[in-house]
Amino acid sequence: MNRYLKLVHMEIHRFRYILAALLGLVAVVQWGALVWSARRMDAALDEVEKFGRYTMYINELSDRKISYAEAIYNAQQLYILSVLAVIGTLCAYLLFVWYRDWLGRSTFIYRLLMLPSARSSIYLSKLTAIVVFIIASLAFQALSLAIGGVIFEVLIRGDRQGESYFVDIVNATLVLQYLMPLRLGDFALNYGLGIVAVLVVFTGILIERSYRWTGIAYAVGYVLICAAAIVIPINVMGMYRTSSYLYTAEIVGIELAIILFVAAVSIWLGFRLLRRKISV
Amino acid sequence: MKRYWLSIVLALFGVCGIAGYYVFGASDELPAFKLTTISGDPKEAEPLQITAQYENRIKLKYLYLTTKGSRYQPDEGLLDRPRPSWMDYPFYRKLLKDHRGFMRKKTVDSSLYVDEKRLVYADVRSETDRADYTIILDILDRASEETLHKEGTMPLPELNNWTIVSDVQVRGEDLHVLVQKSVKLRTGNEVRYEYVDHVFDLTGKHKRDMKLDFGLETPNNSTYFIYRNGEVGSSEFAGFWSQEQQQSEADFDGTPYWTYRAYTYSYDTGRITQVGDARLEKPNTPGYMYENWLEAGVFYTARSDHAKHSLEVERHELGTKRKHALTIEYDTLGGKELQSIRITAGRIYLLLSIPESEEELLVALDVSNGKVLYKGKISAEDGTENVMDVNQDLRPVRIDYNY
Repeated sequence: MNRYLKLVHMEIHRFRYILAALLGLVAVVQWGALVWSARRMDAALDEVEKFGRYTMYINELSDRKISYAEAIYNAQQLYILSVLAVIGTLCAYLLFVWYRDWLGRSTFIYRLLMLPSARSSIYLSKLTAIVVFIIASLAFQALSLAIGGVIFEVLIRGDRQGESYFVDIVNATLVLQYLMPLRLGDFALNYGLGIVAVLVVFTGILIERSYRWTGIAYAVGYVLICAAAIVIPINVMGMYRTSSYLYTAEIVGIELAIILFVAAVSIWLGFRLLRRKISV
Repeated sequence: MKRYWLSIVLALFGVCGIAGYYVFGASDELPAFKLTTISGDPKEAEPLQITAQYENRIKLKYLYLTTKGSRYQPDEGLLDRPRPSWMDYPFYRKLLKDHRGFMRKKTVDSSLYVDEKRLVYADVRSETDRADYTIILDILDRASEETLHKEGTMPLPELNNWTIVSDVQVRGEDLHVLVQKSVKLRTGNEVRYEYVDHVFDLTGKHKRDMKLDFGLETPNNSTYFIYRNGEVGSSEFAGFWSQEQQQSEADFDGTPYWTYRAYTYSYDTGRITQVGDARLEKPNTPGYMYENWLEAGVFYTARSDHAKHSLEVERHELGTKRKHALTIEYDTLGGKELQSIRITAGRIYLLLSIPESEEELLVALDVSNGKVLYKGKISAEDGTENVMDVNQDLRPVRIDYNY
């Protein structure tokens, strides 16, 4: 356990500057976009008050108030870009978290594989580190929204501030709706599926590392089979058709069993490859 | 331990941040509404559900309002399936619970017949450009839980475009499956719509067919089946209404008038009877509403007169052939414009806008004499003073009745 925690810490420590840079990027882009959007809307309101001229930001239907959610909505492209930058980097790091150990002159993987503890700790520590990066990024996104609310209140004078509901803020950008769904159940499902996808990719990487050139084909095949095993039954069982033979609870139960099976196979295979087959 | 502060802080920050997000999200919900009584018996509004739209420039959301409160339609997640709204009615939920096996794949309420003895579900399997279609019958004996499954192919003189089941009824020893078809004429690309009553016995053996001829004269006509108000048990009649475009009758700007007619078809006699008089109308007038209902052997027609701010309701008792007419003036009820109407369970339910207000008025009237039994309005649930501000974003669209 101690060795596993040390490995987790090591993985987090290795990514700390990249993570800090990503979160910094989110803060700068999102708060900057908010300031730009809120000021533009505020200026548009000034024009309405002075000259009665309506713009695309403040139209005749408006109650001459601007809300935090609207300010985000009008700058959503920049919010989406900043979030995509984080998602893209984390996806790339899924591969790099393994391959960096093989890179360089003094191959680090030698040292990891020679540790006097179960090799499964290496697999689990990398998985845990990725999960920590994801939840920390999500928490920072939530914090960014909260701080954005304060920035908005500072920027826009009180009588112009319209009410913003939490639901509206989340719905203001397409990316937040998927990234941080409003229902906790959806969050658990989305990220549970995401973790299974990470397990499949990790095992794919280990297959490639174990069999090298032919391993690439095996790894791609493995990932495709796992994806098909999860996606095809959803269509076959008619999850998104009204007239399917199975009831929702039954389809969800079967699908959950398949997902758990894929996760279990990926972990088992990953551990087995690390223990017996991996080559340096 | 000190060495690991970064990992510990990062993990704690992540967990606390996400927990905080959901705790705050649960406490900051969109405004809640409910139906509150102005006058009359509050029980009159208990079976009702108002479907409304809430829009505040970010997103349009549907919500469902009752006397108990409101419920927003949740954003679709991975586990949300398309689901017909009738499956939420308590009556059908009980049916799904009691006959779980039989109700599999049975998702169209007009294909389902329910009485104390049996459940019947009729489905159609059809392919475009084929000269036949198949009727699939599932019959459940509720006492013995025995099911009967039968399939029968029906030939078509033309090519099939699409076919749906409009109604299923058991009358004595006859099982009627009323089918609406769109057929492609062999002479060209034209399509024709028609209704056929396929009659089977209770063992699923095909007995006869009855093609419904409404005798409409013009080619520019459409005939629509009037779906039932969640009615359970056998009904002698099926209801229809038709609209025919009258090319000869047009406005100065060329806008055509339409003739509206209502009909009943008797499953017992096979006779089609026109209900009430034909009406020449200009349907694209703002606020125009023409709706029909058939329930428990009574046919209702409601037609709004936008200029007079009133509603005419005709009530035809099909058995006795008696006709009653009512005129409801909105201003006598305290309303201005008609937003929605529903006639069911011996009541006329109206949703009216209130003059110089953003609020909506719900009125329940006795269908037999027009007596006002209930008046209510949509209020913010927390009783906030700026109800009007909040209600500006709320637009009721439909009255539903929880059968």
